[in-house]
Amino acid sequence: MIYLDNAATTLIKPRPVRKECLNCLKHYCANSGRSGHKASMKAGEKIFECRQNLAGLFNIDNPSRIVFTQNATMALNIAIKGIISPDSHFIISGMEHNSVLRPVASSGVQYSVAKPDETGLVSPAAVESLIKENTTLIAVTHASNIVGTINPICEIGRIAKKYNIAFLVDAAQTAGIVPIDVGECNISLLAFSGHKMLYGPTGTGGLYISPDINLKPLIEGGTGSVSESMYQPDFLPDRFESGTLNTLGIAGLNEGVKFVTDRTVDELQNYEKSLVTRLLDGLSGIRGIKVYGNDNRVGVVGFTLADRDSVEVANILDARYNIACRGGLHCAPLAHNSIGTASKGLVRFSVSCFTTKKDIDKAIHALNNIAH
Amino acid sequence: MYYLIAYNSITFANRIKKHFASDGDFIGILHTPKELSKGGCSYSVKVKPEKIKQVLDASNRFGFKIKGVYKQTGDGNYVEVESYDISG
Repeated sequence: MIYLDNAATTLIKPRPVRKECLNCLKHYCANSGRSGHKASMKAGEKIFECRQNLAGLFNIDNPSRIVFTQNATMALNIAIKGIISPDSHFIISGMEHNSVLRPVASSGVQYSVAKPDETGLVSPAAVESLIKENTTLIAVTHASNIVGTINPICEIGRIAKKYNIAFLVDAAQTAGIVPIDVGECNISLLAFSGHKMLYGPTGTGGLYISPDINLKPLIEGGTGSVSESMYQPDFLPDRFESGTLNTLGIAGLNEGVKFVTDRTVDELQNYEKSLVTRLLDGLSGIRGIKVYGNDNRVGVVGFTLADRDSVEVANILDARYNIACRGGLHCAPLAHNSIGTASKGLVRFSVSCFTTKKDIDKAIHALNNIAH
Repeated sequence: MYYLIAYNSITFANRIKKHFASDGDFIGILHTPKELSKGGCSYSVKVKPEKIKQVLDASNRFGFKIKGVYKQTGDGNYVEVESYDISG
């Protein structure tokens, strides 16, 4: 199979990730922070190691400010639902995924949408023009999950800082493939998935919460700490980590983060860029293909093929050519509306460091056949 | 003779452990005995007397709230150190 659905999750994981998951299952897949036996202590140590490695990757001083979640969606929900206060106003970009749009829309909070340009780029000026006296949150995706366009989060972060507004970045598509420095970009809340470009197993993600942000916990319960109290701990990460942590997933994620750090984000990004350039070159020669986005993108390419239904094209690629990709709206109807692709959706190819040039060439060849 | 420094969270104890990872004198972490943990669960760093100041300093630097400091007695039990001034 040629796997080009890495924006959903990376299917191929580095060998150390797979190896550590097996090792964990055999030896220490215990409940961290509850008991004192060796397996539990080892689990706790591994989980902390992962926190520390993630902190290094995002230039976070204090690893305790990283909270593990099941995925980026859960992290975004913790951030959005935790920061809502009566009469507050939010700004979200027009390229947001449903994991931002839905919790914001259903909360009843007043919100404005910063419209992107036709490539999906959200300008800092568009965000700034929407700021009101009661704006308490700006939420922007770092890179679009439908067209890959990378947003200028550091410039938007500077605006957020200027107005003393919390800044939430959805890094689901960028963590591990685009350098992120939470301090430099004034990021208050960084939501990331562990199972995409950090190459961890599914069921992993996290949220960084800066020291000046006070969130209400989304869920409460056992944390293994201050058990004598009927109230949730007030310290991180425990405040937001009720229930048994995903020891297995985090052990694998730890190896994924080390893989990314060892290879370096820059090297991985450059490799993906070379694949995208090859893909775009190939697509440009196929009649009827229209590619969306701009030149500054992650390894995500969204396109239409004449007036063909995007899901139908994806189905043909799978059935006839054994190429896995995704068609449709990609859980981002707001983004599709913003760039005018809501009626038919897009076919999305997304690469990883395990995608080869040969894979790209075969995908182009297959699309050529479908187009003619 | 050892000291136990108890923290609310295993994350805090593990950060201290990592911080002193290359220190040959560092003993380790353990689940705080029930009678010391004041009713709740906690984890403690176990250190030699000469290391306790460094550990307390690091805890302070990291902003970790310390649940208690305990000194091991000759019979193997622990008594709480009321003041963290253990220089003497």
